[in-house]
Amino acid sequence: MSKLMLTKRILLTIFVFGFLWTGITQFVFADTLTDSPLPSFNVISLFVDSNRYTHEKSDEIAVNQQIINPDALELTTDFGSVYLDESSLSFQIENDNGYLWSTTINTDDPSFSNSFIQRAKSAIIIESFNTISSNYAITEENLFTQGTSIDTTLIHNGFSSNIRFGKSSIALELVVTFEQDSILVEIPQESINESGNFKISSIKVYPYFGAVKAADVPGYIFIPDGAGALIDYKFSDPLVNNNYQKEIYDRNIGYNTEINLNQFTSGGTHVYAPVFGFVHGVNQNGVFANIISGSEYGLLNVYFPARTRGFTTVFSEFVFRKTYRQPIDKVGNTISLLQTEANNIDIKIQYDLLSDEDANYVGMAKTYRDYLETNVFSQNPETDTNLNIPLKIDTIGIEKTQGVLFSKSIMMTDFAAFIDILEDLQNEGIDNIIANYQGFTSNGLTWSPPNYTKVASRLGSTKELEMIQSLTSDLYFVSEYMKASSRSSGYNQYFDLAKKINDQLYQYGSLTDTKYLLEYQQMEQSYRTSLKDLQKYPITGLSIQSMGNLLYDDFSNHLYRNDLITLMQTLLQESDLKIALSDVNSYLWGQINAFYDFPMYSSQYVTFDDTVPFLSIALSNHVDLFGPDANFYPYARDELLRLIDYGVYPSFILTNESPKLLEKTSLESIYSSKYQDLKLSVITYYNYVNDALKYVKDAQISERNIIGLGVVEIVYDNEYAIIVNYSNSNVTYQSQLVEPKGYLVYDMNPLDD
Amino acid sequence: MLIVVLCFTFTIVNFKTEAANHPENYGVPYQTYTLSSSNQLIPTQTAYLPVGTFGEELNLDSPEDMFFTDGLIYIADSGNSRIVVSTIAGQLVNTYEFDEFKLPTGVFVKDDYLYVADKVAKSVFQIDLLTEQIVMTIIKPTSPIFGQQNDFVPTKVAVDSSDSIYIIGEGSTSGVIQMNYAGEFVGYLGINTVTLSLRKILYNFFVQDSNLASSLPPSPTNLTLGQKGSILTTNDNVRETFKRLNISGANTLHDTTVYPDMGLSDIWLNQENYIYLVSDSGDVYEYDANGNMLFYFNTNDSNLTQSLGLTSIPKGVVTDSLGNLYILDKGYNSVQIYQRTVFVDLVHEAVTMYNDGKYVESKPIWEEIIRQNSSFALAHSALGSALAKEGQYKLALSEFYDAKDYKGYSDTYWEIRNIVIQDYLGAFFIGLLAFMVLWKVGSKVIRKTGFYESAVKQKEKVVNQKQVSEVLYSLNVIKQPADMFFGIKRYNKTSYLSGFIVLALFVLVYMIDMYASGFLFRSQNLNNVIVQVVMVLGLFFLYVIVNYLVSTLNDGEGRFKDVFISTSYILVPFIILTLPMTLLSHYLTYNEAFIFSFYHQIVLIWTMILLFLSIQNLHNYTFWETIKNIFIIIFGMFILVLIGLLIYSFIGQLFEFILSVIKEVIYRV
Repeated sequence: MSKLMLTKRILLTIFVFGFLWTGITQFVFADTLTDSPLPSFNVISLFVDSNRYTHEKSDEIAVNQQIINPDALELTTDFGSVYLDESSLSFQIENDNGYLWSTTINTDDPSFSNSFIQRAKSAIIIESFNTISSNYAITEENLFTQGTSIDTTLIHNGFSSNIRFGKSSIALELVVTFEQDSILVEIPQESINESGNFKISSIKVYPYFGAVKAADVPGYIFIPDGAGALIDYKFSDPLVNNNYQKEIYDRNIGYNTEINLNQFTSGGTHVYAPVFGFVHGVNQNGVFANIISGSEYGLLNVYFPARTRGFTTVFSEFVFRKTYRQPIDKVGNTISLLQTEANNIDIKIQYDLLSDEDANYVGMAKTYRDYLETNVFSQNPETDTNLNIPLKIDTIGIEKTQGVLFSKSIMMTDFAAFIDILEDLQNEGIDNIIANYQGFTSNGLTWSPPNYTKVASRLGSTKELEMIQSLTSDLYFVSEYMKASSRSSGYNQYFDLAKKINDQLYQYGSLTDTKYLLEYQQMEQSYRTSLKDLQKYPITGLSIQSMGNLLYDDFSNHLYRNDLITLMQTLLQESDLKIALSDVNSYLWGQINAFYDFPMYSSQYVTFDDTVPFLSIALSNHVDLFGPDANFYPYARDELLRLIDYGVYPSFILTNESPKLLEKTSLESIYSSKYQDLKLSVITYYNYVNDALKYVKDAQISERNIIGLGVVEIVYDNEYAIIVNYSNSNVTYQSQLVEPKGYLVYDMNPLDD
Repeated sequence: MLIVVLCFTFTIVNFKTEAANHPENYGVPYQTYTLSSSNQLIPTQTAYLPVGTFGEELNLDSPEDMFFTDGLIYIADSGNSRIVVSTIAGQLVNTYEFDEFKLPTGVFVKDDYLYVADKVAKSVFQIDLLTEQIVMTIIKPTSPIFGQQNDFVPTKVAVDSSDSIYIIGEGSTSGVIQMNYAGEFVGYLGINTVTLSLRKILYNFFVQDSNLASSLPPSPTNLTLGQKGSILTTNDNVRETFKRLNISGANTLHDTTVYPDMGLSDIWLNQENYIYLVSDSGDVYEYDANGNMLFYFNTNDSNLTQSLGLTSIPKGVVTDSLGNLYILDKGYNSVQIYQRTVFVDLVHEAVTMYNDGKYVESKPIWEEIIRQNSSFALAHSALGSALAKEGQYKLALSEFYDAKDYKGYSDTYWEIRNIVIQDYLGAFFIGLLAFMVLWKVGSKVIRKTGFYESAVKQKEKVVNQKQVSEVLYSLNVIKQPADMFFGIKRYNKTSYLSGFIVLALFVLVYMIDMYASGFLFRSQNLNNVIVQVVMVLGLFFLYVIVNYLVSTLNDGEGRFKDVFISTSYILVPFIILTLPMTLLSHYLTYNEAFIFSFYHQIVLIWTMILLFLSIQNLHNYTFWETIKNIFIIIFGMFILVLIGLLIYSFIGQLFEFILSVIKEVIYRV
């Protein structure tokens, strides 16, 4: 046979085979859905007690640890008598129960050194940088430092002192006024004078107010770490090495040389509200502190006994200046420089004195709630008429990633598919859905910021969008204006990016792109443009990522975080659309209609003893709270009970396609989201939470009591009580059974409805 | 022999993503990972929840080892030179203190006897738990097999069911020291292998000092008992950082095991035969008995926050009968407790059933796992096996594809192909026969028509065009390469353009082969296309330039144009022959991998021969002159690359220097 024929024969064989192959390769990704029960919900696992739960506190009576200082000056105020020690500006006051609150400790113990006693008595401890020394050495001074002059004048309801510190010659004024139930401590900014070579680093205010030695006084400290945490007064714990210190609202990111700020985390959750408190004798005496002004630069400190001669105390500190490292070459060599301008801080702290049934964390939450109702929540909460609780459904439209030659677009859920999902859920009885649509622009979820002007036509038509809006209670589009993606346009990479104090850019690295932070002006512009363009679509609101908790300084324009807070509050206030934010700090609580990714835990440090839902009690019935996505629950049963306990609504992220398509993108952490796979969990989890919280949907939490190990009773102001049982044993409440890992809704007044 | 490069990359994805499912939102301070299909770590449900810590009552000081049996935890409290016994809730039960204890670092309990390895006392003590007396002390063996120079520094100890004592000695490079029940030396077990790298060989060649250039294998660092008489050891500075040794000391883990790349500090086998590993830097791994990684998480307390679940220097890991995990922390002198979640129970149930061969019963559980994590590679792979067992080959194929389980895919594809062949073989041959008849008849008929003549004329016209004829001239390389080279050199039958066209064709075919080969034969890391193209072209031009330069020095006759064109023309066999195999590779399994590799080898060898011929004919060298020339070319390419790198780095340095001067002026002035 000739060579040509042979070649032809070979090619022919291959051709025919290929023709047959197409018949075989009909890959069918079959839905292998079998009816298996949800193990994460149905299996009752063991209850192990830890500081993730709240525990019963002892009702021991708190006894005064000090006597009234005989040398003190007695002031008469609206509150009553105040005993002021003029040399240290510490004071003592007696509350209605006869308990003596003091801003200092009992100094009778002979083992205390002089310097420790001075530090414990002084109302203010100030740290300053010596600008003459080469490495900016820090000097610590208090009111007893040699050469310090204190000039006190009595004013109506309090006193005002002009203080000039001896070593640093820094002058400031401390004004303390005593109202009927609260104490206001102020250090006005204009009174601060740095005349010499010393520049203020930080000021600690009344650091030993309510300090307790070992376990001499029964009670605890409350800090708003995450949802809220309690630290009992106890003996020194040998396992504890460090004191607790956390910046309010989150770690400041403007002073480092990090290239990828995603790795610059402080570990754990952050502080959402500038408050703290302490209780001496549960349900007897308590103090709740609220930093009204100056919180953007505040720190919360808790000193533990191992490091302070046996005392536990909580106080606030305000940072005026920091040193930072300035890189001078590409290798990474840096020099140390000091921030020249001090931060704008007008220190104002209000201490509310609580007693009897308010002297616990619930009372503190209610006090804070009253403060918010007066000052922050301007309008009445919108009540929707639906009897069921809302369910938040997140979905993803388009995500883009780098393909072989060009960028690849992945369609996860288009409008038609989303309509199917919503209709399916409606058929199952879930009719109060808050829909959150991410990745609605053609550049995809990760690469879009900060441009959000047009909905991608691939997703569907405006009619379909209207259909979605009619199927949901609220339809939010998710956008981002503070971060700009390196794969996006609409901003100038040289002029529009915000810089840290050392002129570096703020950078966040992800798998497919890098994000930068925009200057405030640019952020405002992107927001306004986007708002104008998106308002022509049938959506009810905007959910803006990062705006809830990201605070940064725009050093190159000399604009700082307090300017950013004011800017954000103004922008959100003006918006006609509803606003939902994730992980929101307290300064924006007045502008939001929904709170996403609500913290259900604290940082769970070893030093914490309890986790308490301070935030959810404070926000109860003012803002709809939604928990983190239930797709990723470690053990669903406990998480759902926690939602019921805290009064938080469930949330899911659902897509039409399988999330394995997202494996090589920046969204690879979403490992389970396919609606068909999760349908059963959505319905089960929602109904489980709804059957409890629908009774208290428009009510506020008025009490939260621990009635056993792992058993919580939450009482609402519409006279319903919910009993949550995290433990493995049966619990009887009012002769009704609460099952292990279950709950009971109890109508305290059945005749009333 | 497989051409397919099976490279297992093991990178920890540490990009914190923008999605809000950070583990802190669920009260867990670390993210848990499992393996994806490309052996990368991908996030998954939390496997172990931190629930507590204990240690206040125990007053530990730098504890080094931990053991669990019968509801009690035994801790080697090295800093206090004693053994501490505690309950799983942290209550102190007993302590064992002896004057003979200097620095106990290893502890093991079997049948009422406590075995303690003491590093500084250089002995292993056997203590009766009831009488609390030392009944046996094992010191350095006198057996000649042990070696007189070898020091006996026992750090860890384990005792198997026949009371043989296994000891890990620090610096015992021959492996695990095995002794019988009476403490007499029996032998060494499980020596590690030494990889001989080029660097080591060169080093040994140049540095004659036996101490510096030693290639002693690294010694094992810890051990525990495995199932069915095997021993599990951990090793440092080797690829196989943990091993399951059988009696003869061979590692019996699957060769597809992805090993941790860090040195491990402890290893533990739980009652259900799952292996737990911890490292000093906080990594915690869980493997099944065969070496499949199930879970990974890192508990390092990098911010020194002392949170629940974060550790400083983990030195020991044990599990209790309920499956809870305990990690001994040397840095914080405490023990961290982790509770197992339901997801782990699910995975364990599926894996145990699967390893027992109950593929079909495990199927619904694997499906549930995939519902909870769609990228869990092991689940896809196991589900594929289950489906294949049931005969659902198409579905099994898609699962293996998802899991990138090449072996499973190959076997399943073979089954599918087998069925197709059996079903359609008859029809295929009938079709072939019909086609051949049609072809013969048809070609004769077409030749008679006028259409055929005009088509032939058209073809002649096109072929005789200058560019086309030049490109087609390259086909001569198949039959008459020497003539072709001569024609390029003397008769100017070709031009630069034709050379570039052929080169472009080569790049195109190369790219197609890279990206469009069948799934089983495709290379796993497909880098950026641009990088590939640049690399290939760079190599080509480097060779051409160096070839020309060297030939000018060695009296070669070829001009630069000739060298370029002939080098690009010798790629023609590759261009013609690669694509059919690319197409065919979609229908081959690993059973026929030989065909694939052999074919490519033939093409490669042919091209190499043509390369040799091109140099010889173009520059008119003799055989030996060509050989010499080739060596010089290789050397020249190497030098050129080196010079290029030097120049690049010099320019880079200069640029950086100028930049840093400018920056410093700005900041200081």
